[in-house]
Amino acid sequence: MEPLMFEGEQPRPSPASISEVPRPEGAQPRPRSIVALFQSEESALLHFALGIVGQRAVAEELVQEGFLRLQKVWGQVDNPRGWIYRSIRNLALNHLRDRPRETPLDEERASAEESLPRDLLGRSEAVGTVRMLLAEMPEEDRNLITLKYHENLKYQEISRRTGLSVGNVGFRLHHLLKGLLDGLQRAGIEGSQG
Amino acid sequence: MNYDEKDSETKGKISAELEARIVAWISGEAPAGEVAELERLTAENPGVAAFKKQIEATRKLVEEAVSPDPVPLRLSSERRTELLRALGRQEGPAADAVASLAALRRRQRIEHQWFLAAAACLVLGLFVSAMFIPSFQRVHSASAQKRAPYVMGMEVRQEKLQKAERLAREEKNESATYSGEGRDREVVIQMPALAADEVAEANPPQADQAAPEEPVARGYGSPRMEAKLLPAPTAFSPQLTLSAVAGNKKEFDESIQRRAAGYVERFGTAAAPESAGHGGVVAGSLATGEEASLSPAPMNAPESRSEAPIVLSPFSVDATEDKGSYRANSTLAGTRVRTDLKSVSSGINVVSAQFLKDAGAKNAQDLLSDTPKTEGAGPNVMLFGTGSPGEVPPSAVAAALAPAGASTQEETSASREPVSTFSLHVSDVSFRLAQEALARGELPDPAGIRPEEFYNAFSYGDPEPSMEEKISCRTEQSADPVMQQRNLVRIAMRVPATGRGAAEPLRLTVLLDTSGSMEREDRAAAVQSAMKVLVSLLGPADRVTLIGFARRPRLLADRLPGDQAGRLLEILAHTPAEGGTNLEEAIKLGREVALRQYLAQAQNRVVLLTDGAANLGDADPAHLATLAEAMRQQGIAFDACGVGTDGIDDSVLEALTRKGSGRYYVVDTPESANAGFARQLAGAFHPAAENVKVQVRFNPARVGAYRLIGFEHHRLSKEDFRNDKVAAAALAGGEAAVALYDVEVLPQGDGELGEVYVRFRDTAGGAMVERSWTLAYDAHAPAFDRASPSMQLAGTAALLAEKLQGGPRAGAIHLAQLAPVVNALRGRYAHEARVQELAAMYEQMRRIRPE
Repeated sequence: MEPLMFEGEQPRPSPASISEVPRPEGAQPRPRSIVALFQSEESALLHFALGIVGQRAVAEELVQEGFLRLQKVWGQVDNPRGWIYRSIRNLALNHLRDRPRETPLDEERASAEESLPRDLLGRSEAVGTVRMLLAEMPEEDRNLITLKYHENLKYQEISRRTGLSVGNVGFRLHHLLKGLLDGLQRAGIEGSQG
Repeated sequence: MNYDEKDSETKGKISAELEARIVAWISGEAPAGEVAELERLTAENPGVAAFKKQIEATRKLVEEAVSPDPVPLRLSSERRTELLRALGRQEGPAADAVASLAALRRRQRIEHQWFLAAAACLVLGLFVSAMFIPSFQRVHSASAQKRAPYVMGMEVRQEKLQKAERLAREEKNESATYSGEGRDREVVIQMPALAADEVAEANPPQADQAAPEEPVARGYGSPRMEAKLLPAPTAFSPQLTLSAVAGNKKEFDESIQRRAAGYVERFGTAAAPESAGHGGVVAGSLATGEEASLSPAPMNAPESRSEAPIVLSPFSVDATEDKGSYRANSTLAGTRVRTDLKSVSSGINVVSAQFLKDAGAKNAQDLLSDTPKTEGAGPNVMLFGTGSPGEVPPSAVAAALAPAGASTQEETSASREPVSTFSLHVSDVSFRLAQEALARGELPDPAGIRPEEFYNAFSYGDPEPSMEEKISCRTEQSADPVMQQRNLVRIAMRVPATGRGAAEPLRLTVLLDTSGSMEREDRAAAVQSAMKVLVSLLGPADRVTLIGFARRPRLLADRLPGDQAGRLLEILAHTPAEGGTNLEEAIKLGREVALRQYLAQAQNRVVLLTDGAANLGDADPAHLATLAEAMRQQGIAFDACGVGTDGIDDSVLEALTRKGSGRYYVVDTPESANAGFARQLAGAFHPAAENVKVQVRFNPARVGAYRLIGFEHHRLSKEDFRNDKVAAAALAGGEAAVALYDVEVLPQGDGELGEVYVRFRDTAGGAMVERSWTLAYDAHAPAFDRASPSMQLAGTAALLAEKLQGGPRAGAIHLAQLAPVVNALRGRYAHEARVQELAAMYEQMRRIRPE
């Protein structure tokens, strides 16, 4: 907020809420359209699905299915990004549950490009799960995470940008990270896998 | 902390504080001196090492997650084209109109609001400049000259400006600790908002002439948006500048006097600090009659911002017979933290001789058995034999007595007493007051914590019944996260949304506090907004009478038809705020007036708007409550709206509305007088179900013991369930109410848990309705962290309330253990502000008192 102004100065509307504060890259708000969401998350979701099911073709099918389902409920979903991550994960887990022993018909193609090493798949699943949990967080929290772990800012700098106190930044990041760890463990992913 | 340390030995876990330090460390934020120590701890303690490893791994995952994939993947090109075509169809205007209409509307609304907000900022900015011309004329006459046209245009507001200026000066004197710049800034922001508001509402023609932007301001005039421009109301209150030290009596005295000086009505303050500073002295001070000079008004907000909690040493009173002064035979030891004198009631329950008389009891035992008529909570009651009840500080008499000798916080054996009955009351005031206190970095007064008002602060999405069903009941259970062998049972009732109740005309009597403290700008604005909402709900068939009260009540408007109620706002604007608060006289006049305009087929209600404690007349909550109760017997309900959260006398308002079967809500800022408030008020004015009572009959063959969480003041004896003369709470159309039980389920037992009965008066037909449902036995109740979100939400709210309440269960509730559930709730209810607020309260609780 601006102090009292003298003649000649133009009153400036002050940022009245946090959404006014420039958002770091990566902490997007609600996407404008389903196509925009698809374009921004395509790769991440494919990695995620692939990490769970281990087969490229299945992963693609799941991502396609997820978006077609989202399209039907687009107007009613408050947080489409969180929704699509959660759906893809559920679809993928359903797939594993329903077809545990299904093997691709084309063995050769499968082994050639799709069967990535097991730990790499696990990694993709873990990263995808984190993205899912991030997508489900309030924007403000996601913002903090991005500032700290993407832009690698110091608490001091984050405090300056967000208006939170330094102590509060540390406190919240601690809880956010802890919450993510809890979420990962609940999703059956060992955070200590490295 | 104790818990965590003990745990670290047994399970290898580490404390939250250490966790936080480790997180800071791996985030590269640990102070240089600390790294060595953390390294040592990691090497020594395998638990720490494991945690560090996990957090490091999480951190790496997060870093990867927020970065783009190094090897981007894409769908195969044909699948991609196909999908994009399918999705793209939605992008067409036609599809947009159908499929994503909701989203579109939402977006448009947001953009619209932003436009309006920006426009309003501009207008307010101009006002800021114009408004302060008078004070700058002295210093910057040249600049004022250039602005002259503007000043002329705003002559109509001159009076307001002067008032604003005066206030600004007072503010300056009052708050010497504010830096000049800081103060200016706050004052500047505050007053234009109010002035704009008043101008827009009270003087539309002049306002239109005043500035071309005016229509924008009016069209936009939503109090919610204005409030964003206001500083937090507390930033304004003089007490913020007082860093009173509770332990230091001299400073404390001075601070009290400085505050008291802010009030027109001045009372002797000498004795106040004495009792407030050392809560434990309550008994002594009361006994010697010093309390006569207590001043409730200045006492009503937490005066001290001191960090150190005031911990009372436990004491107890035991006497088998009545010795004259104490009329109780025992009392609970009290360990309370920073409660102010206003509502001493949780551990130490005080009842005056007058209250005994009011309750029609001869002694404490009588009072204990006289269940529905008395205020309830806690079996341990300390009674005072003060000569005249008028001398007892109102707050100290926050009376509390338990029904049928049963403790409300302890379990009841189902074989001994299988039936639990209560009035199904819904409010969120306790939650909001606690939230406000925590936001200030203080622990709320345990006496003001009512767990049912915590878990009823949320909407759980319980199903709405059809009109024929009249009421729906949904139950769910999970394992209790704290107590072994116990299940949490959530019982949710909901009545259908109805338009029919609205046909009932209103006979409204508004009691408006016009005492000196209401002059505070934020409160005046909040009252203005609240009244605006109230007026907007009235129709031509309604009648409204306005009584302003300070030292004396005054009739300001008599039986105005609802469609002319807008005049109330004008009257309000011209009523000066001054003097003390004589609530008793006001209620008496209110009752008289309400009876005069009483109409049998109408909703007859008295609504009280007040910001502080009554400091004149008989302010004993029990006595005032009997007035409300008497009114209720005559068919008039009593609602109360507390203005501001820092000064209201929670115990008085709660008692009044409980006895008056009315609603209790708070409006702390103009913004909170919003759509939600309007809904609450409309619901209160047109209830769908009245006298709503719930009775749960447990099956002793399946249930060992049970405990109703909260509703301490709303318990009824089992005979009252079908006694329709015994008043109970009301539900508005579409409203849901929740009750939580802690139930000891016997796995080896037999049959269902029991049955739930509800009985109420259906306002649509006037008939009494009774329904019952089976409370099923669930052999596989899920663990709390796997329970449904609604169960987790209700349970978490109840646990936090009980933790704050400091009752027998509080020690067993470990906040750290709730972290996963709270995090899950944050995600699950990402768009429900209330749930996010609860999560914030959880964090504040952990910060203020780390375990």
